[in-house]
Amino acid sequence: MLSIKNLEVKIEDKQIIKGLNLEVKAGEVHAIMGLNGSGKSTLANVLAGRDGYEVTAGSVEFMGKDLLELAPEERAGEGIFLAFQYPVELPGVLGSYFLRTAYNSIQKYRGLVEAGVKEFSELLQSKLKLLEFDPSYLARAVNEGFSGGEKKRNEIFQMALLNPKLAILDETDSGLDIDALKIVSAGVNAITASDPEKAVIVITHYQRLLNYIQPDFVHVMIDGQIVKSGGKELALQLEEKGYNWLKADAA
Amino acid sequence: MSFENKISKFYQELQLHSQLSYRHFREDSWKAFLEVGLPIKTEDWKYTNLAPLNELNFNGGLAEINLAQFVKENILLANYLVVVDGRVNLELSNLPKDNLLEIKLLEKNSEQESVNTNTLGSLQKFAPADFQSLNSALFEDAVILTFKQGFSLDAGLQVINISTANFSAPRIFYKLNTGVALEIVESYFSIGEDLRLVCPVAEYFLDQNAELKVYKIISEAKNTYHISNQISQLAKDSRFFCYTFNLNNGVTRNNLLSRLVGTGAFSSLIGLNVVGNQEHVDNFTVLDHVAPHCESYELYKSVLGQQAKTAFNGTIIVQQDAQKTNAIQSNQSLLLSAEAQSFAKPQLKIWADDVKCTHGATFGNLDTDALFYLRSRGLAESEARRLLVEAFAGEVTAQVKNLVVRSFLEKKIFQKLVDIF
Repeated sequence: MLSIKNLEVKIEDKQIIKGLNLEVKAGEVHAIMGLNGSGKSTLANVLAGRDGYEVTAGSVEFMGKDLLELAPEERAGEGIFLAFQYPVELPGVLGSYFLRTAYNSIQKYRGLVEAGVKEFSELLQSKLKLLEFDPSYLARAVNEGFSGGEKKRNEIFQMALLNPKLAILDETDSGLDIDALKIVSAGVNAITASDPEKAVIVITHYQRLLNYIQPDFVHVMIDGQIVKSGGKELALQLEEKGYNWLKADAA
Repeated sequence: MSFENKISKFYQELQLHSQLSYRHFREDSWKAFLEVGLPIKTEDWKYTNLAPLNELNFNGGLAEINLAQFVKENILLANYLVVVDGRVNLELSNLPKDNLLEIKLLEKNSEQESVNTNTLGSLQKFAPADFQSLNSALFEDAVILTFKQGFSLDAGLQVINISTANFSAPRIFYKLNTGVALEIVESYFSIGEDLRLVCPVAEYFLDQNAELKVYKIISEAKNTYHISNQISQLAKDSRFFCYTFNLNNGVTRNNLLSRLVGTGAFSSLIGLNVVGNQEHVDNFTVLDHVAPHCESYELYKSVLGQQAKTAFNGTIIVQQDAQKTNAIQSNQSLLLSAEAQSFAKPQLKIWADDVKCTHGATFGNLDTDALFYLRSRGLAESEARRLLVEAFAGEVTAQVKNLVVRSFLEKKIFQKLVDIF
């Protein structure tokens, strides 16, 4: 589904990603772990198409297409979804209006039927239950005045609605209390369970999230490269031993 | 020939027909205007250049227009007063027949009414003399509306001002007696593309516990200088909401003065400019807190495309007796083009010691994080931009509780955004 080869990325003049390789197949859950500044979030942003990143080498293919050639909205249409580390507040943009516009933009891109107000409202109700989401959020401006946990839940809610092929969760667990973490994880698990083809990349500092979202693969990222890959037991090792033993390997 | 010289003909002509008491009022106002003249490059007129008004041709013919049709197309509310070039047109108007509403017209050539300077022009001394005095010297008709206690008009009242001539000075005076609540739409249109000056003055007197909402919607042609004065005086517990929507302009300058003279009064001045090309809007506001325990709120927002220019001057005066004043002022500009310009000048003059005054100004382009967020959710870039700009403007329109007015504005704003993007 996703094939990243020898990816190198610069921000301004600073090399952040230094030759990264990753293969993600349909239905797989990959965890990418690493310390701050290792390039994890840069990778997420490059995949979603944020401006300000310069790809200096390598390639990213998604479902057979050159992902780097596509605008962010085209990537969303193709099935990439990024759950933001810091979801943006949109004052004055009503939640329900935003969601319907996003949903219909993507339906249109995929050649599917756009939803009218009534149908869409029914669709929303069914997804709201999934995340124990209070419908009153929809009548408020997107993320405005939301708590950290509400913002992250809103991201997963959008993921459920927009039906991506590949979801990238960028530190979705950061700052969440354990109850919010359980709700968010249950939401992600329900989405993946409903479609065995869906793939997920979970980017995180902490092993804790991986107790709730079980990864098939764990990758350790240090200084812009994946230095070690393994199964979920690797996450436990990191929890126990930290990253230093791998830094030696990387050097 | 200077503006003052050219316009003096108007004054002399009007004085020939004025009755005595009227004549004094005009004469005093004319002198006051001549003392200051056309304010060019003064500190208060730093952002709006009036020099082109010296080129004004007062002999310009009237624009041809089917008035009845034009009025029909622009009616928003069931009750309306039509004013053409500063002269009342009762035939085309539809005013409520209610003995709690007193309508006086001070007409050019009329011998019936004398100007009571206790009403008309009584706030003149508090506002800059320039265009206010010019209007007092040169208005043709003045409309004096008194809404007596117990009056109510759910549908509101629209004042449709149409300019077809090169110069006009519409004059209107509202008096709301105790407890009266009213909504007014003041629409301004100009027909024809030649250089012109429209300098209206509106005075609003609110008695105790009265409430007035004014929606001023400016749709002037590109060579029109719209220079207005809106002056309000608020008695105890009265509430004044003044919205100014500048959606089509040549050069617009709105002088707003609101005096809070009774305790517990509330004044809210709110404006939205959606401007492109060479359009120019300058909102010059003064909130004068005279009495204690009053509140004022100001929000002025601009969306600017192309080479448009906006300015906001917000003076808050808190007099020595006006303790416990709470004044909030905010000015935000969204610049969609590198050539657009926006200026803000907040000024606080506080003589009391127990007050809360906050002010803030922000200028910028669309938030790139917000744009990326929307695009990552599938919205095309143009749609994401449109959504964010509408949300920015929506903060103002959402405050318009009259649904007819709001949906009219939303439609106009949408059309204008298409033009300036």
